Amino acid sequence: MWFRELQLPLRRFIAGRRGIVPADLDDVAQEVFLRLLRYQREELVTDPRGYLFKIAANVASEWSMRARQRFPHDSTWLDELTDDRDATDEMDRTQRNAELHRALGELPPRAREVLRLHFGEGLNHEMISVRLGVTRRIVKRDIVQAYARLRLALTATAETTLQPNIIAAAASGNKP
Amino acid sequence: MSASSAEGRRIRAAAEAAGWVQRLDSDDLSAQERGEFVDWLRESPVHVAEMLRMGRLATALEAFGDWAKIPRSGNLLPDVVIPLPTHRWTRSPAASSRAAHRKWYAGVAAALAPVAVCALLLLHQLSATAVHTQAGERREITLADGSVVRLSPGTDLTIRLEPQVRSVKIMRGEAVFHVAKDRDRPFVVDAAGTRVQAVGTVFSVASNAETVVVTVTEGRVKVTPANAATGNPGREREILLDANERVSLSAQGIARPVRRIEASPTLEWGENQVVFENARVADVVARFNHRNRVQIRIEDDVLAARTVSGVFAVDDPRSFVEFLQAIAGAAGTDNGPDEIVISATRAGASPAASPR
Repeated sequence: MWFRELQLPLRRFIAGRRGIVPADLDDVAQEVFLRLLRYQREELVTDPRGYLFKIAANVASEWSMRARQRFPHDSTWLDELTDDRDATDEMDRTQRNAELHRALGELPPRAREVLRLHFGEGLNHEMISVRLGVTRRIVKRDIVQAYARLRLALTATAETTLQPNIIAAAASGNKP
Repeated sequence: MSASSAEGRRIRAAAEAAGWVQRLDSDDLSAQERGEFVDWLRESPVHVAEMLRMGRLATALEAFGDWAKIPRSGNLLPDVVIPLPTHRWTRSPAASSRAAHRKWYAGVAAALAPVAVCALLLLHQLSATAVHTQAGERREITLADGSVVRLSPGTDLTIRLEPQVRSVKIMRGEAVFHVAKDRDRPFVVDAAGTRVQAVGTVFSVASNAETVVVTVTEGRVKVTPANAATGNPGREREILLDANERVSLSAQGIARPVRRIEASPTLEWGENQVVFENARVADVVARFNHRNRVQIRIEDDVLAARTVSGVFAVDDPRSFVEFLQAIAGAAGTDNGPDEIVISATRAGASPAASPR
């Protein structure tokens, strides 16, 4: 899938783990944007997604380092960056799942089904169109619609109300 | 800066980012599209931020473990895992939430078959399970043995898993079978008296009142025509069908010659390639309309009565419209998103044609 190349630090970062407040994502984006402008266009065109993710991963790592210097006592932080399993993030994930669950429930039924087939069963767009008996164009339209709607539906909760809860949950889970 | 215009810009950027996600996900982008993507990203930090948010969303969707609990609407029920106990079993409290986050339903039968099948068979071997699909509805069923049955729209069949045999009876319609290998338990499909037997293979059986069509994409099956099966069992005229072969049989059990067919990737995902031989345009259109949301309407009676031959992808009505435009000079116009109206045949077009 298109986001597979997201490097782990970036994945963690943009997944909203560990108390990274939403404003930070915009700050990271700002920095990524500036760095993108410094590259030659021809160079970026060879693999725009790769460059975007690589640059963002670098910025995210630098951000993380800075955060770590700010909170040096939080020793598990860096370890987790190299640990692909998120054992300590159960609460975080449960909560994110609940939010997603609600947002998915508000999507039009077919768009929801398309996402389920794509992420739940790993079907590509063509397989989805065959399975649902609709054209590929409709599948594509549903996917765009689903992403856009989910993004907006999750903004309010994920970045204002949910985020502090995650931080609190993660923080309390961290100190036995 | 006004909050509402900033918000509007965000919403627009989010929609555009969603469009890029879809394009990144579905195809390899052309050089020109990659250029457009770069230009878009370098237009605004908001675009970069929205792309990163889409990455976060996709990551969360990938990790999402509760698809089974998401409500589904009536017309979209492609998945039925026949052995419900397997289903529940995987969701027992013992299953850790990590396991739940795995996409367990994707391969539930395959993953659990060695452990669970024996118990399940006891529960299910005695009762046949009836499955129906309505017009426009497709459905995929994973059986307890790991075999997968894909039903085309408008199909009625029953499935029975017994210790010695796995049997399916097709009352009407069409299904593709991905048969899990089990040498000791043949997989037998019965359609209008025709028996199709496989051990581990991929094949499809289509049946209406008059004809049964068997197509093999992988492995080999044994086809027993209706009269042979019901008549003298000692003198069955069996037909062995290999990969990429197809045979049509009439209800009286008369088999037409075995034909080689083109192996097609879509065949594996449902019998989408349908063969028409001297079929009336009106009948072909009916077939398309049966399968698709987008409906074709022929306004020209002369064209509707003409006959055509060819192999058509019945999930792609536009391809047939293009075909009609090419052979008959007909004009196809979109009437809203879900209807294509075909009118005004050009006089003097050839009376019969074939797309391939």
